[in-house]
Amino acid sequence: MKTMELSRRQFLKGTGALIVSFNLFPTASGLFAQATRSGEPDPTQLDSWIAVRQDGTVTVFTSKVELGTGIETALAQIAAEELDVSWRKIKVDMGDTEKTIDQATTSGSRTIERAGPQIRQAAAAARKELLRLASEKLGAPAEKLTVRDGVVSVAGNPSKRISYTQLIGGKRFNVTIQAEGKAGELKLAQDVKPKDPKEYTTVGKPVPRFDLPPKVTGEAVYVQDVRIAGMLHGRVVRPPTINTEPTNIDEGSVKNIPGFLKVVRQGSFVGVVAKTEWAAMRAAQALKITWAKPTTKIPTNTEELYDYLKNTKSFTTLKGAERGNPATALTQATETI
Amino acid sequence: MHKIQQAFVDEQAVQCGYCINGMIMTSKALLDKNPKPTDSQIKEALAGNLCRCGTHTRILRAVKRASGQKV
Repeated sequence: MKTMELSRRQFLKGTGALIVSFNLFPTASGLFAQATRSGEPDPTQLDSWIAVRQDGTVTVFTSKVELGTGIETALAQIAAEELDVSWRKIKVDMGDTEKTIDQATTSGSRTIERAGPQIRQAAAAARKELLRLASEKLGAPAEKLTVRDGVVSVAGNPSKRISYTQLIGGKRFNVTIQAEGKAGELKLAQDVKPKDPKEYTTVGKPVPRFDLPPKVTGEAVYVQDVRIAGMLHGRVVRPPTINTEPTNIDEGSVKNIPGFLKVVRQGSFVGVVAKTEWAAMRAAQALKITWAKPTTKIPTNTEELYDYLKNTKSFTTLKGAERGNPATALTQATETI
Repeated sequence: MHKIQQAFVDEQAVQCGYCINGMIMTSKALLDKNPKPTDSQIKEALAGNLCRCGTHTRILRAVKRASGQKV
């Protein structure tokens, strides 16, 4: 999947003028946000945020991810509200750092507060552009147009109508919008007036969460489901107490577990490596280790624990990965920051 | 979708979803043995499945709904 994405992106970089031909490909959906000139999504491009598809759906791109708080659905509601499209037609493309604008990490209950207004403004800008296009096609001023579930019609003359899909489905907006600041502080399309909350019909109403059906059927993909070629699984085997180390590790106790590969020991640290997660879990449980008598007296009651904590010197050891010789590399670097 | 899965969707009884497949499978085992469980029987049956998101009351309603009892 990843390889295919990359090759499509690479292909796009070299063939910017041929973008229209991608409509022939079944995989064409998803290309809009990443098809900017630089190859990276640009926050000032409306296409980095919203894409109207040929099938009548609208895709919203966000760097936020659905962790179970319902933000996929909530962001879709916000976009649906501004666009006057049913929330059922909104798809949210989340979390791909190569095709979404950085809206800061998904944490601190800040998605609706920060990313919400960004998506709202992007959708409001998209609506404005869609009305401008509709105004040209229908020969009526934008103020005279109304939108109902993605269909624009002329007020008082409902026979004059055109859908978002007819206007731009499968094509790029090629519209520049205002963007100031970055990530959580990004202010988008501040010159575009969003809908008055008094007119809201979707935001604030309960909508069934998009992410639930795949979760109850087991189809949802979690980070633990990620598999890459040659990937192995490990588990740490914890000692029964502090300040001890193995005096003996009996590898024979786990060697018959199918998929078990090896025991790793570094000082007092012990871990197991296996071909599958289940084998690693089984090996970590079954591994027979004889642990040395702790080098310190372990507190046996709260009094002793209190004294122990009070009299124990705290220390911190931080160590990142070490490869090559950082000291030499720094002196030889052409540029240091 | 099985009626238990559908009940979990209908009650929106999922947040992150990590525990939910276990909740659903355990509920299936419970309902196979006891088609009309009480609240406390459901709680007892599901006690071994830990949920940190906190959808417990919705899960309870989902199992009751799946068993055809008044929610």
